[in-house]
Amino acid sequence: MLKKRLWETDHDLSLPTRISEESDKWKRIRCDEVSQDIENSYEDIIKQISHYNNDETTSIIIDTMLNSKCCARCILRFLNVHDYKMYSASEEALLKLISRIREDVLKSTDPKLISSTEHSFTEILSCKPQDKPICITCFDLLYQADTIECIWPIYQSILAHNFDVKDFNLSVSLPTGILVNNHSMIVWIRKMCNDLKVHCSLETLVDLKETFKPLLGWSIGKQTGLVYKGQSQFNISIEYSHEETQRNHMFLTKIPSAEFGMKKTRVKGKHIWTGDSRPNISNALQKVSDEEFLKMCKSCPPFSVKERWKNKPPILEHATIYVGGRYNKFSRDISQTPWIINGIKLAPTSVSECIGEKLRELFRCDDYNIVPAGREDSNVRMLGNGRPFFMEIINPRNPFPSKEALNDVQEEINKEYTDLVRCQRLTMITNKQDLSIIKEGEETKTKTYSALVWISKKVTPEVIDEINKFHDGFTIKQRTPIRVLQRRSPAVRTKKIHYIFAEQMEDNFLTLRMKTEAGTYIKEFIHGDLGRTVPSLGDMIGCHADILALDVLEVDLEWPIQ
Amino acid sequence: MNFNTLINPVYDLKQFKNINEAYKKNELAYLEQYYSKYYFVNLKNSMEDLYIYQAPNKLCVIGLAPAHPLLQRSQDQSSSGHYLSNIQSIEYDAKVKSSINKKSIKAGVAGWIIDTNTRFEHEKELLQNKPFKEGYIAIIKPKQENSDKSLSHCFSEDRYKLIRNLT
Repeated sequence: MLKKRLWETDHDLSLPTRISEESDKWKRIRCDEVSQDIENSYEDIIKQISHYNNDETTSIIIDTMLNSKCCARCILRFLNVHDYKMYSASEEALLKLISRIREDVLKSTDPKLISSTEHSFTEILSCKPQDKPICITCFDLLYQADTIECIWPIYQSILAHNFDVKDFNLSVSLPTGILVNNHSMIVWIRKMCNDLKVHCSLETLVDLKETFKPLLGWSIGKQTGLVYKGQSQFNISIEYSHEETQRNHMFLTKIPSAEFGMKKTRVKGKHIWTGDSRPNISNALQKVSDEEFLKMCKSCPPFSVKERWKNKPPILEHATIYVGGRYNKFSRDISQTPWIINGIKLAPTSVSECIGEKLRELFRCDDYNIVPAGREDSNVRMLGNGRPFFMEIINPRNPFPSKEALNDVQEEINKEYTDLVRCQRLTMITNKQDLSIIKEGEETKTKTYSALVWISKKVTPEVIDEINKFHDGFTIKQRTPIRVLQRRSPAVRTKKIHYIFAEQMEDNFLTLRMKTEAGTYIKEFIHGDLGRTVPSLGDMIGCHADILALDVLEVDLEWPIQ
Repeated sequence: MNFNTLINPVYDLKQFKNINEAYKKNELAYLEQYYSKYYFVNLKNSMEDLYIYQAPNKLCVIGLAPAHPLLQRSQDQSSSGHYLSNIQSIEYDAKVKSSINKKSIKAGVAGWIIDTNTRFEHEKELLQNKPFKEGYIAIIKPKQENSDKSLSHCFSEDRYKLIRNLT
């Protein structure tokens, strides 16, 4: 297996910069207008949350989570606020909102049931962001989703690779600890309700990812000017982790009703646990009753955490794009694709490399892959108007080159490899369905060839006439050639020769021009392949024949599409 | 490469002069472009030698070598049929035992039969008339990929001619 090629392994990226001040990390990319909106849409919000929970439950949710030092955004999640824009408001604005909700619901409930002491909002508001206790239901991910510290690794990566894009899509992977901690919070709130003899209506909450992604997306968008779009061809993937809680689901293995099993397996010599995927943990948590959970889970309510989230380096990937064209091969010494057997290069270069390496520099991509309509052997030239092909461009940093740039690179290829390879009609393929034309072409289209042939008797006008009698075409039967029998099964293929024309040269030499059905083995027709191709050229003129040189004159396929 | 040569290629015959001379001397010399020739000398059954043409992909084509009794002038055509019926089923290890004669024919190289010459069904005469080309017997994939080992017991064409006193 070849190691995966990356642009950054052979090229320098722009140097990353550091966040200079500690305080800069906490700077928020704020949507200030949202904070005002909250004032205006208070009535709607209160209506929304009362759909999900009765007033008593609402106040218990708020108090319990404030006691556990959860962030305001997580409290909104538990209150089932689905308007994601609200989450981009500042912590202060949201705490004000929550305080107002709390006041309102307290008015309509029995004041004896719930402690009416005002919650120490001021305490929370007065401490510096970095001294605030870490939220146990999001590990501060949601709390920091719109801060410089969170955006920074992504922002730096985009700058370093210098992706020329206008939009992006996000894939986010959250720490597994989130699952147990959120479930633990639900169970704890339900317990609080039961203790206070309140009917608990808490059943659902807003998933963390559902609010985190839009918030992160908008923030990245604001910082970079890119548009956060689901259909974008450019994807940013980030994996977040939280070491402290990454094994907090292990207790589930001790609860039979969870049906949660884990296996120990060996991968590359190391022992690892499998079976604890996020869906598995989620399903197991659903199956456990609150009583069992309270009994078996030590962290209910969730323990306070000492560390915030961490992230793995973000992975930036643009979807594969396609460039199509036609190529000529003028040399009998180079192959179509790199020809390496047992680590030894058998041909000095290939059509793929001559074209691909230059395209790689233009598109600034990780790698490329040529997909031609058929192949020719190394010692066969591809003449005429060339063989159709397209090139897969993998993870291009520069996906939209101008027509001029594409023409320039085509000229560069043709200049540098003048006697080896020529590239024509290089164009971007925007309609992916067009790509299937290449594959179909290999199987259905006719090819025209020119061959230099030696025969075991002197070439005379009579010999030429004998061949040209068949100029309107004939059929041959070919048993799988011996030179490919090691990878194809023995079978007989009937092939049509549409056209043949012989021309006399001196002595024992003649040239042949032929138009044949797709998949015809020309070399075997000429030398007969020990009688496995019938009739062979030799059979037709009653002697032996061998092919000395072969050229493809035409691949009859319309490409690129205009 | 100008436009005309793209559609009407030019061939330089000078570079093929030596090949022309060599091919004219022996009309089957061109096979050497495609195969390495080896010869299996059958010491147990006198003179039942076989040629082994090995292609670059390691597959071996076997057939009757010049010293084989079936190719001597004294033989008549009907012997082909008899011989061919003995090799109806060549097995792994390339030996065959005929149920009638309990005769065993070694292929000269250990391996698996990939294909047999299907033309023998209607053209039995090919075996004796064109033994070195259309009359080949079978194609074998050697068990051992390394030719130095799989064909170490065989001889080059020159050595074979010496052993069997041929011209």
